Amino acid sequence: MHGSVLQNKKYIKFHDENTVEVMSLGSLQSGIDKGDKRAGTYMGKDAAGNDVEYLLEWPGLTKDDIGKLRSSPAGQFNQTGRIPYTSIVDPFTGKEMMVIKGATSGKIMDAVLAQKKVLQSLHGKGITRKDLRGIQKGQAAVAKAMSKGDLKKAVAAAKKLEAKANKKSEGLQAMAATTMKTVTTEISKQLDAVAATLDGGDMKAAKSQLSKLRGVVRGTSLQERFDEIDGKIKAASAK
Amino acid sequence: MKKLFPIGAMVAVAAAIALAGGDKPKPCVAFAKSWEAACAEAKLLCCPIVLHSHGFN
Repeated sequence: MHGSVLQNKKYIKFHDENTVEVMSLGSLQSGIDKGDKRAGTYMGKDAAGNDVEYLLEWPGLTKDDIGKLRSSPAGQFNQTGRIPYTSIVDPFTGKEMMVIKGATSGKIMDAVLAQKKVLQSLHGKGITRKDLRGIQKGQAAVAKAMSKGDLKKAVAAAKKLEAKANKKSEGLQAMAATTMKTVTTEISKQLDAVAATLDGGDMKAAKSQLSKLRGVVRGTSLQERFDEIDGKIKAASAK
Repeated sequence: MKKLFPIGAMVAVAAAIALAGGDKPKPCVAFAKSWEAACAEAKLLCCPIVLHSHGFN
């Protein structure tokens, strides 16, 4: 069942275009204790580049992920006491749309296409995974720049993301806007800090802090706030 | 929508994993890292979640 569906070349390609796959795996510790080779692991790296021990049979998932998935709603659907159990779930309602008995890759694909049609008739077409990956790549670039404290680069990456998303669907535009919001929130905090320094009377320090943000705010919604603080510093300097 | 930034880092990680040596996994579907991430991604793609309940006998 595992190999014939989840490792099936045709199904892997199909899922990339049509499904999100969730694993609810029981008794993993028992498998580990028995030395079951299916509980074996390999070392990989996560998105941030950290070494992580993943499960060989369920690539990309750690023992901890499996435990959390098992205790999440994903672990509540199979009330039959039998495994394997396969069902199709509506992500909007969190309810099962259908249970697939004797699930083969062919049966699952047929069922997915039918239920996808139902979801799209109710909620619209959605975005493609290719577009989603493009946005995720852009988000990663923004996150990387922010983790290094390079807000100018983060703004540039977020703007690039917005430009890309503007040519696509509303869903992607919302993701890009959320990413930009993450960046502008951080810039806003830094402007608050400059304003606090100025209010505290240390004009020289405030001026120095603000000058570092000049290139960062350009073309963002925070330009006006920057100009306001800049104006106060200039007015104080003139006294 | 508000949680999409972290979700981007959580979902469909299998394709992004770089092996660091040792045994290698066979090609496999990419699994969602959490139920919440699965729902968020499936809503964006407007596609169903396929839930697999397996275990060790």
